[in-house]
This record gives sequence, structure tokens and C-alpha cells, in this order.
Amino acid sequence: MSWQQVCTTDDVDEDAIEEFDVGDITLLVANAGGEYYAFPPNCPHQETPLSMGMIEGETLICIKHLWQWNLRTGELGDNAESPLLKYEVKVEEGAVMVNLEKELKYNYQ
Amino acid sequence: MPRTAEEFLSPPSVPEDCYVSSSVYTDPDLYAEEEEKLLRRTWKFVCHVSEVPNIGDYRTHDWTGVPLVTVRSPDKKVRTFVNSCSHRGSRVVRYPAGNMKHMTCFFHLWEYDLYGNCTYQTRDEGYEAHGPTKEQAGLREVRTDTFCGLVFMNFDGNAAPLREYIGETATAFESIFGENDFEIFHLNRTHMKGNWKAWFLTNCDFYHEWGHQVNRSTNLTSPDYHDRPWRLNHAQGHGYTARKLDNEPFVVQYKNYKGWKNRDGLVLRGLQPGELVLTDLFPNTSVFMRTTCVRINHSTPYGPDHTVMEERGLGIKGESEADRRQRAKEFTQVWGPYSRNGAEDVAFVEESHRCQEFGANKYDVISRNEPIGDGLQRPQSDAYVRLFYDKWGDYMGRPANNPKNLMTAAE
Amino acid sequence: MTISDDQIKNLIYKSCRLLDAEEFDDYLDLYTEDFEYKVTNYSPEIKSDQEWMDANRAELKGLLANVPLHFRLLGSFMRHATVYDIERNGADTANALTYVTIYYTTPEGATSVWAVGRYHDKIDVSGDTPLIADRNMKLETREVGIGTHLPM
Ligand code: FES
Ligand code: FES
Ligand SMILES: [Fe+2]
Repeated sequence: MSWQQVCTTDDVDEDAIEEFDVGDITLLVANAGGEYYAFPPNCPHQETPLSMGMIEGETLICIKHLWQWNLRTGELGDNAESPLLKYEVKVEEGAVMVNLEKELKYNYQ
Repeated sequence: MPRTAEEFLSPPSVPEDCYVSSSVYTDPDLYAEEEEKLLRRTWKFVCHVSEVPNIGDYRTHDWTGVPLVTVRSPDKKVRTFVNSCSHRGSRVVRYPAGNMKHMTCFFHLWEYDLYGNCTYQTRDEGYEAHGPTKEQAGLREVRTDTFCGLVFMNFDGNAAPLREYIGETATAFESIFGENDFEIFHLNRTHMKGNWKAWFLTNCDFYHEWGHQVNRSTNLTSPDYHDRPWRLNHAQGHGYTARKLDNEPFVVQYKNYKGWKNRDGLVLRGLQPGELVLTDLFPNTSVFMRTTCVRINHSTPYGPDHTVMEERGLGIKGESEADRRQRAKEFTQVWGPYSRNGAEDVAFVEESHRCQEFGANKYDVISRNEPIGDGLQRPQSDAYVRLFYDKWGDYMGRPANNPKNLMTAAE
Repeated sequence: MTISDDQIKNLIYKSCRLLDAEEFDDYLDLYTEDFEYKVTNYSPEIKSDQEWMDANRAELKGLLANVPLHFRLLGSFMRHATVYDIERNGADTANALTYVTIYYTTPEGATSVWAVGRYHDKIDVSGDTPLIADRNMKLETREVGIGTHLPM
């Protein structure tokens, strides 16, 4: 699987995070101020579902220990101790396309 | 690295004031001493004046095992009496609240007026020979005073007056209570298997907000969360957190909890939208002002491991039904037995107690230090908890980190 | 098609079973779009009724989505309900009164009565299937230990 349509832009409200399944891959799509981002469903820290997290501007916040990442730059924000893995995303005529060539996974200890 | 038995039994390697012995939560002798030296010598919260608005309105309650009745007397003053008949000791007033013209003991029908005078002894000729006379048989009155609509009592006739006791900590709530005409709309009580101090200090330990999903999402995500200093009252053992150093309010992000909105309607006078102010009065009363409602929290201990937590919600007297409903809704979203926060605190206390009770946890670590400048500490510092145990040590004549050390205690 | 009393009873019993099983999505499907859910009781201390939970669809949905992330009472609840009375309010709504006993079982298997109360339901019977339009769980029990995040 490479580029796949995961949803339409209307499926994810502004500042919301929604979960989608494409084949065997579960992923989250976030709409941060009109920009779309896709990433694995759980926090790299302790597998907390990031679907319960928050979007503040460009920042994604996990609800457990409040690790934060800048979704655009990938930069680590407050509390965060490891990076967020992201899928490549492009929006084409209202379709949110994600490069699912390889499922992104964390090595939880 | 796991600790060895020896390490486990030794005090933690932190400064002396940064840990307490778990025995302060579990030891029956220490508890008995607390009743005598601390709980009977400090001001105890009784109720809000709106619970006894009219002459004859009463509330019953207990303190240090003693049943009490607080009543508004015909001269409109609120008084408290030991709720035990001078005859053979029966509890006189038996219902939690109500209105009465006088107090009649149900056992042999002696009667007391609302000033505590004994006004009737059934077949009183039987007392002519040996007494007691009615004059000798009044109820025991307990010192009672009111500040900002909060009724307090104190068994100790020599203690400093209530206003002096609250001291500068009044800054946190005096104007808010002055500007709003409050009335009670919520009350719940919970029996806890845990110590009264642990309950109170859970309120004062902001670090525990990490344990609450609702506090993580609405409080801790607020960018200025850590910018409010603790304001400590060293003389009396109280503390509060309110405005930030620049006098801007700390604003809770209610919208961050799914299904909720920010709170910018029905804001109490003296507060800003979303603002939160928290006050802790030694030894166990907390007053929380959360944008649209007030929570008063205190507890009644019945032993080292049995505490009844009591939580009250206040709204505005005479407001419309719709406003009251919204206020009550916002109160119970956070507090109360079906809330997102209050219910969890009880479990925090009980789970710790379970380990302290039989020695699985010897020491309570209170070493957090988060300076914010000017000698002040940020909310998640343990500065207030340390102050609490400093005061506790003063009242008890024992250090909280080693309360059974008689050498130190004798100093 | 008129909705029968049995359909109303089944709806109420189903609401108990789905809550016991914590099947929250299906539970919410038993309600109308703009329902009101309340847990209330009478407090002799303050001499008035009080609300301990008051939520609309969005609020209850948010709450139930958050439940797994909350620190919560471990164990399970079992609701035992009996519908005592169903009264029709014209063709579109009915009122139902249900007595409810809620048992709590710890993870170690010890069971106790958690709370008793009455559902005062307004049922929407205007459609093909009945839906709960309003529920007021009026509790007798006011002492519930550490409490719970769940509707009753
Ligand atoms: S689990 Fe996400 S920050 Fe810790
Ligand atoms: S005990 Fe009260 S009248 Fe006898
Ligand atoms: Fe708490």
C-alpha cells in the first residue's frame, strides 16, 4: 500500500483528531487549523490513545503526561522526551491522502 | 534500583521537613492526642449560614466524637451546643437539619431553649431533694463565630478569635464572599477508610492533579498553570493560590474536556471567566472558587482510619431556576460523587491508607520544591504540605517525621 | 404502530444491561437526540432536592469517552430493575417509573448494594421504537463511597 485516501477533509473538524482504519492499519488524522496530519494511534510514551489528546494551534498534546509535539515541524514541545512518528499527508480535492507504504510503529519497552 | 529492607525502613534521604512518618495517619495514640491538642483547639468549619437562615434552624454534626447541634437562637446569633442531654446523656437533636422551637430530649422529655437553658424537667419535684435544678442543667455551649458566611466552632475558649485565626488568608475569599450573596445547593458526605490529614492534604497537593484526567486536560494544559504562587500564612498554617504574579487570573481550559465548554457565563463577582482560586485553612477546611460556584470541603475524623468527608456547593441566592441548574451542573461536573474529580480523591486517600495501615509504606515524601522567585513556590511544590506539618508539630509538640521520638518530643 | 408497554419495559431493561456491560455507544442509542439525563436526590441536610449529575447528549458522550482515561473504581455494577408503572401522555410520550437496585462487585468478587433509587423516565413513543427522552435517576442512597463516573 502506498498513497491511500483515508478520509475527506470534512471528516475531521478543526482542532479535532479522528481515528481511521485502512486495511490493517489504524491511524489518526488531525486537523490543526486546516492543515491535516496523520500519525499512529498511540502515544510514543505509554501507548495512551492520542485520539483523546488535544490540538492547540499546531501542537498535539497527549492527555496522559502532556507530552507535546509541533505537528508541522515535528519539534518536541513541553514534557516530550521522544519524537512523534508521522505519515506523509497530501490533500487532493478534499481527499486526505496518506502514504501508508509502511505502518509506523513505536518500539514500546 | 529496588530498596533493601534496611533502606525501606530508614527515613528517605531528603531534608528533615521533607518527609513525614506514616504513623501520623495510622497511630491510634497519636490520633487521640490530635483530638486533644489540635482538633479541640483550632476552629472547625460547621456549615454555611444559608443552612441556618431562620430562628430555630439547626444542623447537627460531630467533632472529635462529640455530637453537636448548631442553631440560630431567637436573638439571631448562631450558637453551638454539645448535643447531649444533661440528664442521662442521650443525643437531644437527632435529625441532620430542620427547624425547632426548643429542644426536647426524647428519652425523659427534658427540654432546652435555643440558648441552651434547661427549661423543663419532667416531674421536677423528684429533683427537689438532691438536684440538679434547671439552672444547673443547661447544655454545654461551644464557642461559635461566623466569617464571610462560614460558621466555625472551637472547643477552646482561650483560642484566638476566628478572624484573627483566618488572618491574611482572608484576602483569597473575603471580597468574593462579600460581593456575592451565597446559598447552599449541594451537599454530599462520604465515609472514607483513611486519615483526615490525607484527605485535606490531597486538596493541597496540586501535584496530584496529574492523577485526574479532568485536571490534566483542563488545568494542566493551561499555559500559565505553574505561574500562580502559593501564598502561605506561616503564623496560622493556611495557604492559598489565586492570581499569578502579574495579577492576571489563572484560567481553566474547560473546553479541553470532551463535551464541555469554557465557563464564561454566570461568573461570580470578583472572579474572571474560567478563574480558579483555592484556599486551605488549617487544619482541614478548603474553600474553592471555581468561576461559577464555590465548593467548601471539610472532614470529620472518627479515628485515625475513619474520616467522613463533607462537600458543599454554593450558588447565588435568589437566582433563576435555569441559572441555578447551570451552576449546579458545572459544580457536579467536577465535584460530588458522580463527578470527574471529587470521586477520585477518595480513592487516592484510601489506596495510600491501605499501604500505610500495616507498614507497607513508612514515610510520606513531601519534598517537591518549585521556586518561582521572591521566596515563593509554584503550585506543584509541597511548600504548603510542609507548612501544614510544621504547624501540626507545633500543636502536637512532636515532629511529624518522627512523632514517637520522645527525646525530640520532650524538647 | 403503537408502542406496547412491553417494548417500553424492554427499553428500560436494555439500558440497565448496556450500562452494566459498559457498552456506551449502544447505551446512548437508546436515547433521543436531545435527551436530558440526571442523577438527583433529596438531601435532608440542606432540605432540598439536589442534582449530582446533569448531562445532555454531548456531555454524556464526552464523559463516557473519557471514562477509560479516568482513575476509577475497579470492579463491576449490576443493575436490577423492575418497571412499576407506565403512564401514557397522549400518543407521543409515556412516563415510566422503575425501581432500581445497583449491586457493586469488587475485582476480588465481594458484592454489596451500591445504591437504590428510581428511574423517572419520559419515553418517546412517537416512532417505530421507543426512546428515552429524559431520565431522572432519583437516588435514595446518598453515600456511595468513592463514587463513580458512570451514569446510574
Ligand atoms: S502516555 Fe502520552 S505523554 Fe505519557
Ligand atoms: S436523657 Fe434526656 S431527658 Fe433523660
Ligand atoms: Fe483531587
